[in-house]
Amino acid sequence: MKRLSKPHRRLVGWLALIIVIFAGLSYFWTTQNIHQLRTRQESQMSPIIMIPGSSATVNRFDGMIDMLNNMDHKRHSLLKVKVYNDGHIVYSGRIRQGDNEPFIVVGFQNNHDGYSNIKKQAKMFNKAFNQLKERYDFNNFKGIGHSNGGLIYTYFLEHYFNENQITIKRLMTIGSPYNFSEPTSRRTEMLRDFIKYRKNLPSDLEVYSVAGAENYVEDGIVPLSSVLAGKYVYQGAVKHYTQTTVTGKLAQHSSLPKNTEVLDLVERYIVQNGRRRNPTQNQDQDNNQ
Amino acid sequence: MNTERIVDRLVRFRQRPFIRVLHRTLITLFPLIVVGAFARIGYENLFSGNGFLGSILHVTDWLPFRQFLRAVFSDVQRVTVGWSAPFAAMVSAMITTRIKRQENILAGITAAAAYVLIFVHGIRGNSQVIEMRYYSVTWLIIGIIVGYLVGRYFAKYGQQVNFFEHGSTHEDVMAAVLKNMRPVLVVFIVAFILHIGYASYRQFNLDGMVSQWLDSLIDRNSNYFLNILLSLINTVLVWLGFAEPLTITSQAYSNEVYANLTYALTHKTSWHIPYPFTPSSLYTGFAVFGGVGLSLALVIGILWAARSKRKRTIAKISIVPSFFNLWAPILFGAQVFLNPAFLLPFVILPIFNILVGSFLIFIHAIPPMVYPVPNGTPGILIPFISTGGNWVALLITIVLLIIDIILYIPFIKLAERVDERSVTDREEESTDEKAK
Repeated sequence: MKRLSKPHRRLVGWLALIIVIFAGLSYFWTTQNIHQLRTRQESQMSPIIMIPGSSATVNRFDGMIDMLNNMDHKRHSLLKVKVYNDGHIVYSGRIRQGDNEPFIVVGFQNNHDGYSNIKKQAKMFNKAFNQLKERYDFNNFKGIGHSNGGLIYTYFLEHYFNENQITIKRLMTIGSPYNFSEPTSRRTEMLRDFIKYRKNLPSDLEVYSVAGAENYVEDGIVPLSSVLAGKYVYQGAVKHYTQTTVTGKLAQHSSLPKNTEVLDLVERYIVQNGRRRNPTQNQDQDNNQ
Repeated sequence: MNTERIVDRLVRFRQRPFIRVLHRTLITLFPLIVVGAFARIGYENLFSGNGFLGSILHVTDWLPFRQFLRAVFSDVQRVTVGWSAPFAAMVSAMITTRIKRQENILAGITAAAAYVLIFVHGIRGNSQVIEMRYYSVTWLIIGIIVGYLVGRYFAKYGQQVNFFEHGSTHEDVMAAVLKNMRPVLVVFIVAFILHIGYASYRQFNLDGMVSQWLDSLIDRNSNYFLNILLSLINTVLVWLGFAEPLTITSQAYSNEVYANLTYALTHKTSWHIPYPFTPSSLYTGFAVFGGVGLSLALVIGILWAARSKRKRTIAKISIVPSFFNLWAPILFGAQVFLNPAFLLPFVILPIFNILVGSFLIFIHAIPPMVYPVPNGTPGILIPFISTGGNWVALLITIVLLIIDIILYIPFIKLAERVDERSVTDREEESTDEKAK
């Protein structure tokens, strides 16, 4: 066989060098990546991620979580995540080792009302969510949003949430005013957007919308019709959409998280070890991912 | 001799006016395409957390201003490769008038403006955004055809406008421009009518229906022959200069990919995954080394065997983009579009690779490809990464690449012979020049 000429040898040498370098780097990347994918796949953790409403802080759900812990004696741990406007994120509290269903509350420095703020908060929530998923490697989670928190969740699911390996199983919005304070005949820009992008919602999600009512029309702050407008967003776009209206004691908008009926609904529909959920759990996991 | 006859025929094809215009347009746009390709490596590969270089170098952890860099690099890509169809219309119109000896700058500008006008359409609800897909390199051939037709029209009915000619007074130039008013108007009226047709097509959402139909067509479960069909359609269309289907097929069969991945992750093995031959792994794994039509093999083949020094320089410039699967520079530089000399390897070799690759998976020489790869991963590393770092897979890919190069080389030599014989056309033109 004749010997290769000098330019040919140089060409082969360069190509070999480049392939070796990139193959080596790729090897590290892919083994690491597969390890991470496997860890996530095997993870047993299924946190309940909560978003408070406008003007509320990360401490908004403290009372609710205490009461839930008293109800099911599971001692769910509580992690609070605060996102500041400049983008930095502060954690307080911690998730106990071996706790598979912690509560994580994500609050924002900018906790103002209005559609433009909800968009900003959804973006900040996405940032926090991306950090949380890297930290805790869960492959599914449940959501609770009180008041505007439910709107932030909706915006997040329609515009940011795009995960192959992570599913949101159930979402409960409590007193979330999908049409702000407007009557049904006048749809706000936000509601129109929610409806426009509803096809982006995860189709295997189960949604529960809880409304409070002090009289026939409102919960003291939010019109009942505005909460019920959630059906235009979710009904038909997700797996189930269930609407519940709670009346009686503590059915005022801000007291809803402490209402025993609401706590009962959370315990039954959102918390994993609720009565209804156990038998189908494993099956769900196989089908959804 | 038989090959002589083939060369003869190819030379004759190459000297057809439209092919001449096309190939000159391609080489004229080459520098622009190269700039765009490097910018794309920047924003899609290096500065993106999902990109190949970004992933293996972990840029998200240490690179400041990453999103900003991404944005500015993507701007560069947008105005080069992203606008190449109107540029192609302009250049091809100017070259057409030159070949017809009616050199006319106005024809070029009119062709570019007409092309933009045909497809301009603000995305509804937001008049600030114009849909750009009809202007990018994927619609290149349409731009060149528009330019060619406009050029022919100006050559016939227009008046020569050459601002570089010595001794032409201001009056002369004005007279020439005024004489071109009519052809400019005619071209614009035709473009406007086409624009109305296109706008009503958009208005009634027909394009949405078409893409929905395409989606549903490829959303079903795949079968093995789809791999080959997909490769065939893509390479033939790209060879014709129309790369739009590529963007559709990159999304296909994601459900099968996730099913495979879930299986591999839960069972900790990739041997018995449900869809081992799904197109999104088999086609992307073996049929696109260096982009569509195995253009990396073409680049290395040219570096290895081409006699022309300029060809080798073009290959040298194109090798980096081509390594990252960006096929545009070499296909422009080596004038592969509508070049019959390259048709056979361009279409057949990817299919050959798919057959070999799937056979090796079938006999369990290499595991199926299941794991995710970052965006813009070099084609020759895709089987390696997506088998989870299987060294046999890497070795096999390199052997396949070498076979592809060896099989490309005779066609590269054939193309060179055709080019050398086509030199006569240059002489023909220089005699024209003297005649003037």
